[in-house]
Amino acid sequence: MRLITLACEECGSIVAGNVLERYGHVDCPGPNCDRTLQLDSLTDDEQRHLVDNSEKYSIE
Amino acid sequence: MKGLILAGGTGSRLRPITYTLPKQMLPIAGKPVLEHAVEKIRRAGIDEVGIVLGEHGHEAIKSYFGDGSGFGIDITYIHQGEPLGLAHAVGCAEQFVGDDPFVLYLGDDLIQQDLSEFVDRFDPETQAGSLAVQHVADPSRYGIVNVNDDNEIVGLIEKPDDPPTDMAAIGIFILTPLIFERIREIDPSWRGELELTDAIQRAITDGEQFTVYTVDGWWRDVGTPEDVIESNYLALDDLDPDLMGVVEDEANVKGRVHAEPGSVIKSGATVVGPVYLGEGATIESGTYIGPFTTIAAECTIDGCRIEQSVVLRGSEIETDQQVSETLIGRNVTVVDRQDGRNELLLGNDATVRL
Repeated sequence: MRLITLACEECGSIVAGNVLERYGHVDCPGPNCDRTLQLDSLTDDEQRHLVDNSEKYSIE
Repeated sequence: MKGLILAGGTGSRLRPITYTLPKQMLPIAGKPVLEHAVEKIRRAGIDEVGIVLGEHGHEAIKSYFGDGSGFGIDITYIHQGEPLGLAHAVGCAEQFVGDDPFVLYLGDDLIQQDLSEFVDRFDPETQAGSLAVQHVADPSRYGIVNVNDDNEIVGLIEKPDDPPTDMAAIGIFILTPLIFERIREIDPSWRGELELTDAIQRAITDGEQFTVYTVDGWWRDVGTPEDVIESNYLALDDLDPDLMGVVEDEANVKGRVHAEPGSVIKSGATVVGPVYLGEGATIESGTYIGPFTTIAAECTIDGCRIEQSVVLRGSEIETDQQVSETLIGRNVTVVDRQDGRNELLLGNDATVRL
């Protein structure tokens, strides 16, 4: 299964693509980082893959 | 080498406790389960650690560990979100791992043995991975590792009817970045999860070398209330005694008791170790705290006889009843009614045996 993640450029913390696809944007998980990580920071291909395969990236 | 601790999962078998606290933060012998994992990894000489967080409870973990500097490590957090399987959790950490081999540690695992030898023996030039195993009495209950004469793994079998060996994989691995290609090659299993065993099995089938390392001493994974009580029992047996709190005259303290600053054992109370008392815990007169009990910070225990139990932060137990083999959550109140009737206010999924 394709692994899609986004790393914070500020602190290196990582968010899974499925989280970004679900919420659109999330606060960086880094404890001292105030960045927001955005779905549209992923490539168009990555975003499309997450949407097209959303059933694989969801346990519900 | 880096460390990667998986701290997601729903903790469904520990509800209602896990509605408000991730199971990895349950105190075992005075420390969260996850802190035991962090210590094992740090003592093996690893100071770069990734912690994979699930959908719930990550604030409690981040708030406790912060950037890791207070624990002698540098932590990178990885937000996995939904529990899509161990292989997905590992896959989310690819950017953190980079080109290094890494110890993978399931965050609800507790082991007695140090990991230094496991780490020192691993050679990433010749091995694609190594699995920590333990000989078990009932292999049909576990994920079992099958090996050849050279101790190389030839297969992984989940809860086999006819186990080829008695070696159970205990949830601690050393892997190399080769695993990420294998994870990309697999699909979710029938339960919708990306299984790490599928990725490792695929690598083995393709000729990559995986070995076993036998762990001595005890091992438990903390998945149920019974596991918490039993793990606490085992961990307290290795407890270093230290009475940093107040022990009043006429208090009776026997055995190995670790009492944090601010704790008070009042005159007329009895504490028989091994027992852990958290900061600000108060043991009132007439109370008996028996062996293998953890009383977390800011609890008050008054009048009861309690043993082989874990009481979380801020709870108050004021009763002349006996409490044993019990897990009590945070800020719980247990008091006697004088009319003999039971009056209960219980959260969802609670269990009470009267």
